[in-house]
Amino acid sequence: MIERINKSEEIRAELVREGKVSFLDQPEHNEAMLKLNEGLLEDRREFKVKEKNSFTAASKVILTS
Amino acid sequence: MSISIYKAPIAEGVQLVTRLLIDEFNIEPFHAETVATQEAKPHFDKYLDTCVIFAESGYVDRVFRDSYYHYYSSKLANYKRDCIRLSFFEGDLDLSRWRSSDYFNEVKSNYRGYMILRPVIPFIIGRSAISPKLLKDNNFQICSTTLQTSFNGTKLSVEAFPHSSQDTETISCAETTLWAIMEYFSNRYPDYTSVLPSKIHYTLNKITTERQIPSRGLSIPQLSFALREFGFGTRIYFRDEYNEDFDRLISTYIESGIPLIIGIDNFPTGTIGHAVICVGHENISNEQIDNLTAYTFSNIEIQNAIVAGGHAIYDYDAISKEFIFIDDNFPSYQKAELNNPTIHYMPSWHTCAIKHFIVPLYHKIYLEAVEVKNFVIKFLLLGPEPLSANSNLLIKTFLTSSRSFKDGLSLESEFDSNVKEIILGLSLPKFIWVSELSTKTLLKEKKAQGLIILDATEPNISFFKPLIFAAYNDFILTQKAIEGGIEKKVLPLPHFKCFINNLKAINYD
Repeated sequence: MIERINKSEEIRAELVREGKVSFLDQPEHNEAMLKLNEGLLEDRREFKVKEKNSFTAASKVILTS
Repeated sequence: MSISIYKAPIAEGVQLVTRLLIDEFNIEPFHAETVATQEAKPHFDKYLDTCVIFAESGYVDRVFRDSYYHYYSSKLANYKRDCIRLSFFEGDLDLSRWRSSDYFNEVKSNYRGYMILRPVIPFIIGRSAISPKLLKDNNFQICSTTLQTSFNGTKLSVEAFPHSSQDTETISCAETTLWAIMEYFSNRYPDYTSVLPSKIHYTLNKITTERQIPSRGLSIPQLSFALREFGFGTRIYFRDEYNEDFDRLISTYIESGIPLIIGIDNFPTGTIGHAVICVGHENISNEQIDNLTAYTFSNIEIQNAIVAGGHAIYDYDAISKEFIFIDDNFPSYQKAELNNPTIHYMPSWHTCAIKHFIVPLYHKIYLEAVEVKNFVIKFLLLGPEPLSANSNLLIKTFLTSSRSFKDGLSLESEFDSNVKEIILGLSLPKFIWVSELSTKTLLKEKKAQGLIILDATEPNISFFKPLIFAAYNDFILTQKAIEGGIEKKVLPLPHFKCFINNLKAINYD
């Protein structure tokens, strides 16, 4: 007999029965997500500049010793 | 031509090397003694007094043979082709019983590594693999791999990080770091192959405008290019761009078990530029954890959220500690602080600082440390389920293979069984970023209370796409399987043991 085992699904089903599963889809969650998106993308622009500047600075260094 | 074996206790190591240079390399006695004292003694001084050296003549070393045929053989002077191999054992050996399998099985665990002596005066120390167990001071944890070798006709292995000194003509510090990095990765992962000096020169030939030997060193972009050609997705970091985060990023990558090429220089006031490999750090004591101060973020948004929430956030990578370096001018596993990396050198070097480092990342790791650490702290403070007020959190972030992470987790008896099954049931990429959420008190017990797992192959940070799993505040968060979005399950995660598989320690319980 073929048996399918998925313990994660079993644990989730039990939690659903106990009313312990929800989704972060409420307006306050979405608002936090959008605000975080904006901040992270702004940070990324800064990181990209740092990456380019790191490469430029590294081009001037010769390691000989 | 037959192989001779010489034997001496470590206390007579310099005399042994002197005799070997005279007998096997035909070096003039005064030169032999001077070179043995200057080059070999600093290594031997670090080894246990109970160590015994066995030397085998006529050793064919693949690295030196490569240098010999591509360079030394073209000189007028007569350089020898053969090397000498020194093998180190803890405690004495009875060679007359070596061929007995019972005796061999008894003593093979005492093998502590090897060192090649090459016939290039004064740069006689060739490649070596020294077990930290051989050292008097081995209170550290490092990236290491199992290196295969042999002694007296029998195969042996040693757990170590490869080391070689430079010969200054075919390999300078820069080429040596490339060789050692590739030696490490090729022994550890099937994705990479080891390289010889001529292969390094051949690889760089297409971007080099002048002759390559005698070596005049390499620039950092050349090092990065070579690593990329050897299969890595390399990244370069410059101190002036990352400021206070620079040292912490070194710590994050080291904690991830990734050896880094470190660029040290004193330009423009000086003329020294040097490359070393950072491979680990000293074991962290409770006192060092106690001395850790709360992290002050330069990002105003984060800092304001910390103040408003009454949180105290600590960064594991900010713990003041010594790091372990493979430096071709010094014996294996040299200790130094990041802000004083050349304190063990002569005074003219003391103005040097670590200005750059190169990370040899697996080529499919697209999300890097600086963004991961920023993402984690912002998610915890400003995300849809922020930390409870007045949280006290010590965050340790590292990269690991999902296979290694799941393997460590699956047999971890203290980890909550339900949460464990949920994590083990997750479909994970080859590499993941892990942030363990702990406290100072818990970390002293090597334990944590929360966990965040990010997808290292997902550089798209919008809508929490890299987030795979999070457990804190008595709930767990996972991505919904198909439709996207985040599912929250109320499921507390009791304290668990921190993941320790990235770095190996000798005496750290």
